[in-house]
Amino acid sequence: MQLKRRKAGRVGRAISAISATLLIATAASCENSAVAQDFYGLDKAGRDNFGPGIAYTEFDGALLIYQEAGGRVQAIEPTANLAIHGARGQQLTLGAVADAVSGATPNGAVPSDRTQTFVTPLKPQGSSTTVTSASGGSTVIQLPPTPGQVASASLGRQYTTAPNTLPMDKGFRDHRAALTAGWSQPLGWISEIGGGAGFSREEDYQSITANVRAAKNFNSDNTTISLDLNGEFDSSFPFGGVPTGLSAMNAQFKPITTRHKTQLGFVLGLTEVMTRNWLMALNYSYDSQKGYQTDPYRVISVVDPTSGEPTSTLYENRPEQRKTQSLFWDNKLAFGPTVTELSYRYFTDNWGISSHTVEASERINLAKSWYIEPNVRFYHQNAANFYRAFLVSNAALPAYASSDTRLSRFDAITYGAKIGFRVSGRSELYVRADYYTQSGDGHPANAIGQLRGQDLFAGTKAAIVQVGYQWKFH
Amino acid sequence: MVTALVAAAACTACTAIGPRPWEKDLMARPEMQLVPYPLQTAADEHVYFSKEASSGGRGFAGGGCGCN
Amino acid sequence: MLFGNRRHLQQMAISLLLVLGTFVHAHAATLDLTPYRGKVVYLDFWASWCTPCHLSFPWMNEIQASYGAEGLVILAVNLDRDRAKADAFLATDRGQLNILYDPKGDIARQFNFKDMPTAFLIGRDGKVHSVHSGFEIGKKNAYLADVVSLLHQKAP
Repeated sequence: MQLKRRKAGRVGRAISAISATLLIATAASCENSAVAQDFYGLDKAGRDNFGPGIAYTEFDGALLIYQEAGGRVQAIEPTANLAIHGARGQQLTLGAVADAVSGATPNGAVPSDRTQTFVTPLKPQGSSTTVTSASGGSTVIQLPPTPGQVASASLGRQYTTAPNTLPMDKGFRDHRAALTAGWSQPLGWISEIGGGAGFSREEDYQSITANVRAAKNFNSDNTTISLDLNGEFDSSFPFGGVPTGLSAMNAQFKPITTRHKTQLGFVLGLTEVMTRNWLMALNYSYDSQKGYQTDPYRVISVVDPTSGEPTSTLYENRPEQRKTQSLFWDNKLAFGPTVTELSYRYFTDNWGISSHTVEASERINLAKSWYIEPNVRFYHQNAANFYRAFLVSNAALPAYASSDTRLSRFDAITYGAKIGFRVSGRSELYVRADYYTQSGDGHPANAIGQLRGQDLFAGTKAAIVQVGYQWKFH
Repeated sequence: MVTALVAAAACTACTAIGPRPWEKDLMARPEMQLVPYPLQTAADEHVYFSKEASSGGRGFAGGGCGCN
Repeated sequence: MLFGNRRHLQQMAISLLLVLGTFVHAHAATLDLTPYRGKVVYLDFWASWCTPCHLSFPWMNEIQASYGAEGLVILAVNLDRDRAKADAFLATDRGQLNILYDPKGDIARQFNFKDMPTAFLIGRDGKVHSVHSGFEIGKKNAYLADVVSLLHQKAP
């Protein structure tokens, strides 16, 4: 918004002087009445008035509950966001997230028709290492003595998997806390310029992120072109140390304790108001990740070439370089009391993964203050070229291998619905629930021996429930 | 190539696409923002980032976690 | 160059409207400035969904009250498609302003502006002297200075 002055005809100097005096007098009387009211737009009609050109603050709080089927991972995640908007398009955002995750997670090994035993480093509890009962049905074991090792380090944790069940590590437990801060504002001819930073910390992982953004509006603000640059520096310090890729799973503490990953990327965006009813956005993203991207806890089974019985268990290993690209096309359509969102994303990377994502939601504003919004999401991905459900003992070891189903070929469907209630002109409460199911090939053609009778796809089924509250105030 | 496409799309857009300023009543509705519920979008991105091999697209990073 | 052209067009449009005002198609909203010849007209385009418009109304009411006697006329052209929404807005904020309804944007199209709200300052000579694009509380004094300077111009 700007004040465009045009030639004001013949304005005499004397008149200017008089008007200036008048102006000051008027301004003073107005200003005295209610400076804050003027600034925030707190007039009679504007009490519940929020949007561009008005200074206001928005608080968002939400609680996410995530529960996987089969007693797997469960997570509780409270989130809070504060966005302070200035009258001239300035925006300060502060965010905080906490996360408590626990449960069992597939360790990557194949199921077998026999009982399987896995060993992993023992997590010391408190100062004492003489633990008698470890969590999740595992037991403490005495490791065979290694030369030069202190006695207290010679304990390990062992857990077993019953025949014909998916091997899972039940000792999975983590906490995360994250903080973000960002600023943006118009600057000269640039419609929006800003930046932000984030810090996230888990018990075994840390992430530092930074981003800068610039956007320019054209065409009566119907067109926006934007560029975001993102950087990320991650540190992984897994419990028990960083294992050597494709070495045998064991209970020893590994000498390397920390590995890093750096990520640099950009998003080039185009937002276009197509018609009175149709808003469209098109984003191209590129990311380059270098460094440690292996899951330090995940293993892969080596099986006998005829019986399919696991003969050994190795730590997985992933390439250290990953370049990803995506194209995201988003559409929002407003007709009558409804808002439809329809989006498509194509994703590809140099690991051989490509994916298609289609999402649709339909918000229906009901009488008065209620709305409902059903949604559906379809996802399909191809496998990474180093994905193996298992390795075979008579074949040479590949350079990289992972049995993580997240790197396999699968489909996923999400169904969900949201109910929102506008408590007042200032606040809104919403609840949403989604059900997410992955389906993949549990019986691949290359399955050997006993593996033909096992389900080799360890995909996830999860329920996601989120309760949120938005509160705007001046 | 994609850059060129975006630029081309943007330039054709500059000419006449879109409603006049007084026809933006629907665009002014809060639910017509691209991300009207940032915490909901963030939660989705976080879940899918931790369960699938693809992430991002919205320009809204889902990363920042080990997410096993 | 474009800028000059548009300004010229706007002035032509106003002149045209002044002459043809009464002959325009009955369904199209029209703006007849004839009754305000010799006055300073603050022609404001607004809508209920436009947030800065909520800020401009109290201010327009203030200046209408203070400068009406000196010849200031505020014409607030509403661009809501739905009359009920305009009425709801006006129920609290109307004050002493003259309201015109242009639900199809007929008048707005003649003036072709880029922001909501936009105000055209028309002098006693019937010409557009300045345009206030958008409304910022911090610029109130500058807006007022434009109005006051026009009020001090003699009618031709």
